[in-house]
Amino acid sequence: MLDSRKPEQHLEGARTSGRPPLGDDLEPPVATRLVTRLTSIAARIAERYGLVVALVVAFVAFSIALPDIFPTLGNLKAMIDSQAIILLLAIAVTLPLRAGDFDLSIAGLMAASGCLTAQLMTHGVSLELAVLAVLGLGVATGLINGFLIVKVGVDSFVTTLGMMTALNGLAYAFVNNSDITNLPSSLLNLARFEILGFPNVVWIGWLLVLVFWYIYERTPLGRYILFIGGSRDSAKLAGLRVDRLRMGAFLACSIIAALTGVLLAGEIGQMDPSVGSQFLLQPFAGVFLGATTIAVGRVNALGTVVALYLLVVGITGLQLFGADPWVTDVFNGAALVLAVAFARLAARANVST
Amino acid sequence: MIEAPPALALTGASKHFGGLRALDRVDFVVNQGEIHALLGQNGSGKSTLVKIVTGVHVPDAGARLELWGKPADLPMAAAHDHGIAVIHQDLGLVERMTVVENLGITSGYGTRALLPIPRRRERETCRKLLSDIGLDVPLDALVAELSPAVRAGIAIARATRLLQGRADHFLLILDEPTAYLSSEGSERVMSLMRAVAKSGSSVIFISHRLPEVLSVAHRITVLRDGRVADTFNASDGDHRRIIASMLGRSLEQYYPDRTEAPIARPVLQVTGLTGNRLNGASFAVSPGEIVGFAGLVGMGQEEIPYLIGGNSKARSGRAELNGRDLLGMRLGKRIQLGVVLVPGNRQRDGAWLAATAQENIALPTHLRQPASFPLLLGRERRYATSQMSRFGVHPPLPDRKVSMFSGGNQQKIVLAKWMSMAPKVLLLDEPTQGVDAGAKYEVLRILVEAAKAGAAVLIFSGDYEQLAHVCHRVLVLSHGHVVAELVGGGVTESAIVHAAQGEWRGSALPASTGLSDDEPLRRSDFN
Repeated sequence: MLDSRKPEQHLEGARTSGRPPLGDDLEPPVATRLVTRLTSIAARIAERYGLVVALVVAFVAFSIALPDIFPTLGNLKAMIDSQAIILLLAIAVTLPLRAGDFDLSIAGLMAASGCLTAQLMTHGVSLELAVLAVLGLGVATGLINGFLIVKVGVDSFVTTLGMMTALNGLAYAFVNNSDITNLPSSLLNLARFEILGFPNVVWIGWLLVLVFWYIYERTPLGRYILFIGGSRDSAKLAGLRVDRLRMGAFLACSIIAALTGVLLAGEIGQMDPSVGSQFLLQPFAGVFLGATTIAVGRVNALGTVVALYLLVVGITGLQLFGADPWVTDVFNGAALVLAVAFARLAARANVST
Repeated sequence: MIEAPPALALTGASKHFGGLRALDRVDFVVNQGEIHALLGQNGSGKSTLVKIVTGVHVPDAGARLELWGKPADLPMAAAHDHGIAVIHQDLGLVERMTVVENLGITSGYGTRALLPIPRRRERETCRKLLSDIGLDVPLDALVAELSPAVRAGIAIARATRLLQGRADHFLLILDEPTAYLSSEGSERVMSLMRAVAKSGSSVIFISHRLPEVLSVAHRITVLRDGRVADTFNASDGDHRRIIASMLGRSLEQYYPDRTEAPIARPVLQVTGLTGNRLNGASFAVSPGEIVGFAGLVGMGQEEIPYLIGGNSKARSGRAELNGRDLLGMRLGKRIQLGVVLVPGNRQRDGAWLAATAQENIALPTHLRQPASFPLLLGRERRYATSQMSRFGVHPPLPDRKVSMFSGGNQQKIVLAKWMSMAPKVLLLDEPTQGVDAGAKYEVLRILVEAAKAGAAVLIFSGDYEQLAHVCHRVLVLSHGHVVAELVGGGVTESAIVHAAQGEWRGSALPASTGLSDDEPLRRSDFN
């Protein structure tokens, strides 16, 4: 018989007889309690840091298998550099995802912003003004997304799918359908200037991770965003300004994604308007896989970094073994699906313990 | 005359989970054509017993089961083929599908997966199923549009259909089908149950609502701590007997002691409050006072808490807290002023189920500070733990997800959350709904304490017995107006029922309502 009832009802009946009738939960004897307590703590640690362990294991395994090419400083740097832009987008999209909304438009917005920057700057516009224009594009996108989704009530998946396509089209319009090369050095420096061996774009990503870790785990704001993502009606009745918070999440996400476009142009030194599609899936794979670690079951900042680095270690390792480039897409796609599946299984295991 | 064998006779059923004993040599007999109420607090073993009967759990050795006079193997396999079906509280209907589509979904629409559905025959079958239990509902209506009571009826009809053709006799197990229904709704479901029993099938009925158990059940079995505490004919028992055997203590201890009604200037003054159904209600509540609001469903009283402390927009009227009108303020502001709503739908509106108890309890403490202020996690944890033990949340584990607690403990967490603010006005929509007897006592005790601490407590409930036991005053609404005000000794269950029903029938209130002499029923002056 299908047992589709509430989790607490599974506990029913598990109680010793010597207890007073008040309270309605189980209380097994001390020894049993200690054992279950210890196993549950161990299980929780394994659950929390499983992905971190996987990252370490994957790194060590590839280092042993390919001692000459994998554990080199150059490869390490290359792997981290390759994730810089994806990390920025992933951190941006944690905001709406944590608030319970999708934003698929980030990669399209980044492409459009990058193209806008490239076009403006090759026509002699200063970096500051170009950034300002990009900021305008980001704010406009965030407001349109937020208005349609929060105020009008259109499904976020549908809205941002449309916005993504429109923005990808805008990217072509900004560069008149052709690649732009020879970007000015002020733009290149912005992204490439190195501190302690890592370029700016990497440092900015790490800084954002710290900022968002702090917001999500240590401030009421982070909890509010999670609350409206989990129980919107309940959050409304608790007095939270749900609409405003959701709007804010879209807005902040779009602003970060737009500014990422500037960094992208600087990092690669040229703009190809089709670049958006390459960055669509990986941020989501990172965020969803990341939600299975550190703060388990919740979209979180540290988990997202760990997940992205695990993905890149896996992909790089396989490529160094001689795998074809298509492995990247297969690996990322599979990781996204598996991450969501793992999250479901973990939730189910939680219910039955 | 030879007596028909019982539909179900389970003897010597025990069940251990690891070292824990959930059931201890339980004997349980359900006769044919009988509605048998199975009662007990959460944790008393009801679910375990049901799951043994339906084959989900394997009982310990030594148990024996007979179904309609024939021995059946334990563990049970394929309960459906033995004529047993369970209807869970959530009913398991598909809201976006029609009645016909729902009725066929568990029995393959009378055909094979890839063959066409015989439309006309299917409709005929469904019409008969529904009329058998006296349910008149359009076959093409979407389930989402139907009332909860009618949905329960459809679940019952669907279960009967599942059993038809598989067995000769039916036993339906209804697990709290009325927990979230209005009193009219549960009346309706009870008449459905009677129709099922009249046709010779048996019903096991699990419920926390004693009045309806007493009115519908033929026999009652009460479990306590995994044993049968009592089993008797419903006509031989009453409230007191049930509660005494459920709790192991008497009814007087079932409700907290009533306190003296305070004499003070009102803190909440409502005038001409109008919503969708509410039509110009006026009343005032003093600090320390517990006021109940009663009325039939749809008479407007259920809107009041959401107009004052929720997101519903009032059409007109005022609700003043110490002279300041609340209705124009945004909700967060009202909460900061100490107006707190505990919604009726705890799962959807009251608690943040996916978060931990600590995160729920700490929420109001953040509302007083900027959102970017850092959290003090250690202090927050100590605070949550102390609140949990103060309000009797069991187990007092702040890291546990709220969804993992029982209904009663979830409600205590919701209350613990708001009580930290020392609320001035506490609005409670069905505060003990879906809460078992022991936890109900504790929830009510928390409310009495809050009133003692100076809160104006407003309880909106269809549980008139509860209102009669804890309220200083009860206002009864009809068609959007306050039509009666019961005070002091006049606050009795029967007086509330009469006041609510009287107006509903369109007649004036009867002169004699069986009230005590010292406090006559007063028609309200308000309209």
